[in-house]
This record gives sequence, structure tokens and C-alpha cells, in this order.
Amino acid sequence: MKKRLIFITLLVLGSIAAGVLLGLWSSRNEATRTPVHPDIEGLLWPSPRTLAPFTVTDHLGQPFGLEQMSGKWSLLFFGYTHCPDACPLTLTVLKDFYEKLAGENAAGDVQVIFVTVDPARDTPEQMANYVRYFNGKFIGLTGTVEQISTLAQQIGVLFYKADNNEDYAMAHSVAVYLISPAREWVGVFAPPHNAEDMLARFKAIRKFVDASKK
Amino acid sequence: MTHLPVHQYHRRAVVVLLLGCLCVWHAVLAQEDIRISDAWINEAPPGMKMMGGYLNISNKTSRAVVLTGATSPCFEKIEFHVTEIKDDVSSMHKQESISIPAGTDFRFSPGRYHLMLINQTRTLAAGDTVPLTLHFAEGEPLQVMAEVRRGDSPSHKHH
Repeated sequence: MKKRLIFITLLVLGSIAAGVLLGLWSSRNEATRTPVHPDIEGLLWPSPRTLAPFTVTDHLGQPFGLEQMSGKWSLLFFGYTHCPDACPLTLTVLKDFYEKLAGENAAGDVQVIFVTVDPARDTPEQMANYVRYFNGKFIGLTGTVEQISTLAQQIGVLFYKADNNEDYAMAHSVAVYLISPAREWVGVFAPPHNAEDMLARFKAIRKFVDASKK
Repeated sequence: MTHLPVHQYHRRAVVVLLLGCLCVWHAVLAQEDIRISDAWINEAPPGMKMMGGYLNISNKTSRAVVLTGATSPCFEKIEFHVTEIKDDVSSMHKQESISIPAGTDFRFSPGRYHLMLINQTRTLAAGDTVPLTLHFAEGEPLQVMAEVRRGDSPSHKHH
């Protein structure tokens, strides 16, 4: 009778131990498994498009192309400096986003790029005055319409002259596009934008894409 | 032509005077029931031609009021525009006038309706105040002072 009790006790303890070990093993297996598509709004996965070469001019008058995007996380926004409402609003969000990230010492490999859709009025000097107002590290890009289109078309950015007035307005895509250090278009942040939300999604996408590359 | 007695002339004058007072009083009262608040201008980077202006118009009257224009000594021209985003593409549409139904508020706010302030006549920076005059289809124009300031980044609580 006593032997039987000991046997049952051992059996129960053994089962518990086996269960715990099995649990530990499977959770360890979970951690090493390749990441599946996480539920991050705006993540373009599993087959992000790799950008093709393009050449435009930055706000310092220097050539800017794919090489300047290698090894960096780039946030691209398309607009124009004569825009009184939507563009300053989005750039204010991007300024807030970038400064929050910099405050966490996590902006070293991040660049915010404002690309004009109105190169006729947006010279490199005009772009310099504009982007520096928001943040000294922001990059402004201009060029010919064809040069800008070479970049814009790859990520589905639309822009056109909205009227023929002297002070004409441009219609343009207002999403923010995320390009990975491998020059892949991995994310899109649709409007309306706010810095905290964009920051949380950016960090989640960066973590996921970095993990996928290992 | 008949000649009225002198006292009847006086009576007419008094009636005209009273009617005149009533008109002035009515106009003042009517415009007092339209309240402008939270007027501000988004500071622009140096050298930019266009600025965005924002304010709230509260129509406390019992009829619709129509905003027909805005002027300021600090800008060559002011227009009303609405920013519309469709399929992530933003475009601006000029509004000739803005109708505000009785008892409602109309808000010009970033990302939607805005005063497009064209060509500053002097350099404006955060901290400056700018007089804006709003013109309506009826009644006297209203003047408001708008403060130039740096726009805030919208946060979660505004969504």
C-alpha cells in the first residue's frame, strides 16, 4: 500500500517535470523560429520592392542617389514648399518623430528626406531653407521632373499641377514611405500622421526586418 | 405740394432717427453673435510665400452667415481652401465662400479648411500678432488678432 502511494506520487511529479521541460523546450523553439509576418500596419512584407537607381540633387546642391540610402533607414515624404497646410503639418510630425527617436539615441541610422514635387519653384536653396527650419539633419531633394519621377514612380507616388494660376498648387501623395538599409521599400505610413504612432510602428518594423536578415 | 406743420417734420425726423438707431443696433448685435476665436497663423520657414491661418467661427445667430472674404495688411491676398485627401493623395480646393448654419461652429484647422495667406508684406515670426478682417455677405466685417506660432504635432488625443 505504501509502495503504491510512493509510485503514484513519483508518477505525478514525473509528469509535472516532463510537462515543464516540454514547455521550456517548445518556447525555446518558438524564439528561434523565423519571424512570421507580424501584424504591423503599413509593413510591406514578405516581398518588399528593392529600389532601382535614381539621381537627384540634395539641398546642398550635391548629387543624391541610392548610395546615400544604403545602410540607413530612410523616411521619404513628397511635397512642396509653397504648400501652406498638409506639408508643414506632416513635416512637423516628422520633426517630432525624429527628435523623439534621437532622444532615445536611436536615430543614428535614420534619415528624414523631403522630396519636392514642384522642382520649378523648389531650388536647392529653397529646399535648404525649408528643411532646416524643421530639423538641421533633414535632407531636401530636388531635380528635374523626370529625375524625381524616377524615384516617385517606384513607390507609387503621384503628383500633378492642380491648377494654372500663378500661385499654383500641387496635388500629391501624402503618405510617408519607409526604405530599409538594404534599399527595400518596407513600409508606408498613411495619413493622418502622428509622431507617437509612427514611432511605435517604425520601431516594430525595424526590429522585424533586422531579425529577418539574421 | 402740401406743407406739413412743423411738429410733423419733427415727428418724421424722430422716426428716421429711431429707425437709424435700430439699424445700427441690429448690425452691432448681429455681428456680436458671430464670435471668432483661436485665431493663429502657422509660422513658415524663412522666405516662404504661403502661410496657413486657422480660427474658429461661432455663429450664435438664428440664421446662416456667409463668410465671403478675408483681408490683412500683412498679406497681399487671402483665400479659403480645403485640403482633401483621397487615396492618400492630397489636393487643395479653393472655396469662394463659407456658409455657416445657424447655431453652429466652423473651424479652420490644420489638414482641413485653412486661410491661405499669400505673400507676406513683412517678415512674420512666432510671437507676432497679425490683424485679420473677416468679411461677411451681410453686416459689418469683423476684425481679429491672429498670433503667429509654430504648429504643434498632432497627438493621439486629437484623433
